[in-house]
Amino acid sequence: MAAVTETKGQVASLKIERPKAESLTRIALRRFLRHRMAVFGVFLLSSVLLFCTLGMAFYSEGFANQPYPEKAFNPPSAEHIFGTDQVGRDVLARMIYGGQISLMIGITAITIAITIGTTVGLITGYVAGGKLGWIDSLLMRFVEALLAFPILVLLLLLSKWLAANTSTVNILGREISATVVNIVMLIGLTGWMGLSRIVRALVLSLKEREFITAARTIGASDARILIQHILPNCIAPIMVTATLGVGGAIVTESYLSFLGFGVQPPTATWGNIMERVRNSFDEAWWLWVTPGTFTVITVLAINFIGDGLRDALDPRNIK
Amino acid sequence: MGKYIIRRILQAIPLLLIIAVLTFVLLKTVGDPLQYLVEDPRVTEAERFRLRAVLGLNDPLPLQFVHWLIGDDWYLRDIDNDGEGDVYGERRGVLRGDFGESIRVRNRDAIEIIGEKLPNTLLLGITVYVVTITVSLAVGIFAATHPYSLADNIITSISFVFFSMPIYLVALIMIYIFAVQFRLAHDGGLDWLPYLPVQGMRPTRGATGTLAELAWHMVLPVFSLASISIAGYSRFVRASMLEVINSDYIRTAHAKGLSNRRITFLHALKNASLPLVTLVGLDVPFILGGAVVTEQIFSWDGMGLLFIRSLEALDAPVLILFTMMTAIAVVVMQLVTDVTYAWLDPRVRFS
Repeated sequence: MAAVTETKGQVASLKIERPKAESLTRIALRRFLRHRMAVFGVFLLSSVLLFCTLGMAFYSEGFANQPYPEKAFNPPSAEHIFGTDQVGRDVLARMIYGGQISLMIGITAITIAITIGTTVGLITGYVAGGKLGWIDSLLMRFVEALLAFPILVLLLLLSKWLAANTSTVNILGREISATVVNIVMLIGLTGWMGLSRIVRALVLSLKEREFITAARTIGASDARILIQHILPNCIAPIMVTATLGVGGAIVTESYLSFLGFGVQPPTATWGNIMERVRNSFDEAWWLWVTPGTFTVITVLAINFIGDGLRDALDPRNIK
Repeated sequence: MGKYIIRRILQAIPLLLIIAVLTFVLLKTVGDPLQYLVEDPRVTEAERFRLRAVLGLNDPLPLQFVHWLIGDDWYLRDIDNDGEGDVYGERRGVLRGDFGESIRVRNRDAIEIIGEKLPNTLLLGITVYVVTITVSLAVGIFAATHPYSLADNIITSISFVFFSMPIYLVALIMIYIFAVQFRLAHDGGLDWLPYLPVQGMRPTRGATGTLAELAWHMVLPVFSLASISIAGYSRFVRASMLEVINSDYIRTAHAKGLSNRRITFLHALKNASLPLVTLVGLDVPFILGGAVVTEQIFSWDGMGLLFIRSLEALDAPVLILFTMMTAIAVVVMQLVTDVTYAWLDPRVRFS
């Protein structure tokens, strides 16, 4: 007992010597808030989120999806601030509901990608070089194979395979085209390889460190070591990849929509608002300028935030 | 080093096999490429069966893969649906250099079809890379030697915006300004104002244009593609140059009285280009896959357009060759990258 109190006493005295010690989270947060671009990014992204949520108070989704053929291709006016599309739907209302879907696709797809990437990275990194090393070799060959595809080619191949499911699904009380789920799956299933390699490399070096040996010595199980001790040390690259990935996923969705493989109408996304614009883009400029601008602003904001996070979480920079 | 190269090539074989199986299974389970014949009343059931048999589509999936791999000239196939083998196949299989016959374009080999489109894509892709690397080296080095100056901040902001842009948006803006609006101004009296072409590679489809006409048609697609990659690459060059410029040996070089130009372009650039070599080595093989979106917008008759068309027709032989080709390019470029890296950095040893 005496030894324990003595140790406690030492810890306490250490704390007194450094009264201003901050937690790593606080240091990261402080550094993030000092990053002007990142704060600007948070402001931009919040504005976009406000637009997509507050807008619901002014326009109903039924109105956003309701065609008025006699009003097709109306340029911006007081009545339709962003004009109307090829079947006379109000572009502003579609931007509001499409933005929700685009952001939702980005976030859920990246959640899937991060989950797969982290799991694969943790497992392969942990078993590499051991008895179960073949799992690592097998999965990493598979990752290499997927990375040897041009990403858009892989996406389009898989999108063909998921098939044009034309039914609708009910999400949070809204009728949404089932293709939204397909796109989420697609982007999620093709977006995890890079992260799995980063996490694997980190785990490879982490598992040789003393604190892991210590954990093993006191009898911690493999699962506990992975989740309690190794995973928290991988959080920084995971957070940065996740943030930047959301922007990437929003752009990927718009590529797929642009090529006609994306979310099917009437459900709007920022990508499919401009889907058929290629044939009439010089007359109906508002149909691509509006969603294009919103996409760029959102992705730009997300890139700023990701950049700020990277700097804030980089242990080499911690002062 | 010879041993190293041989080992890397041997390692590539299972990789290529996985890619082949993956593409094969995806394409063969997705649907029937001859579905359109079912809706055609002029084609009888027997004819349909015969066509499917000749193309090998009636065989079970694993057998189709074996045929794709080693050929089917040893396999007696039933073509009149009487349960007995009638004729031998005609294909020799990938391992004997035969990539099969296209389904979309009847009586043409997959390799011929790809051979037609590949030069167009290479022309576009290589030009884009030459432009990208030259401009981003210039911009990146300038930004790194003038860090946090006004010019550097402007360059950073612009590259952030372009980096966040989807390629079609850049392309549409370019077309809207330089093709549509310039043409309107040209027709409206400003005769001296040139406007850029948007469609295809030549003024008239099928005709052989002059080299100047080809270059003129390349301006917009090259600029659209390059502007986005320059945004990423120049940031990368700036970061790695900054890291090198602040190192001790550069200070020593300054202390010895070497000229700034010599230090920047010889001493610093050689080390700063190491990470760039890796990046280029990772990106360049994907030139072969073509720029799907850009080729679509500009009707550039390359691999990207071929891919979309083949995918819509479920043309498996062409698509498998397509993915195998990019995969081989990835493997080869990785090797080239490693060798270049060792040449640039003598500390690297092959093991």
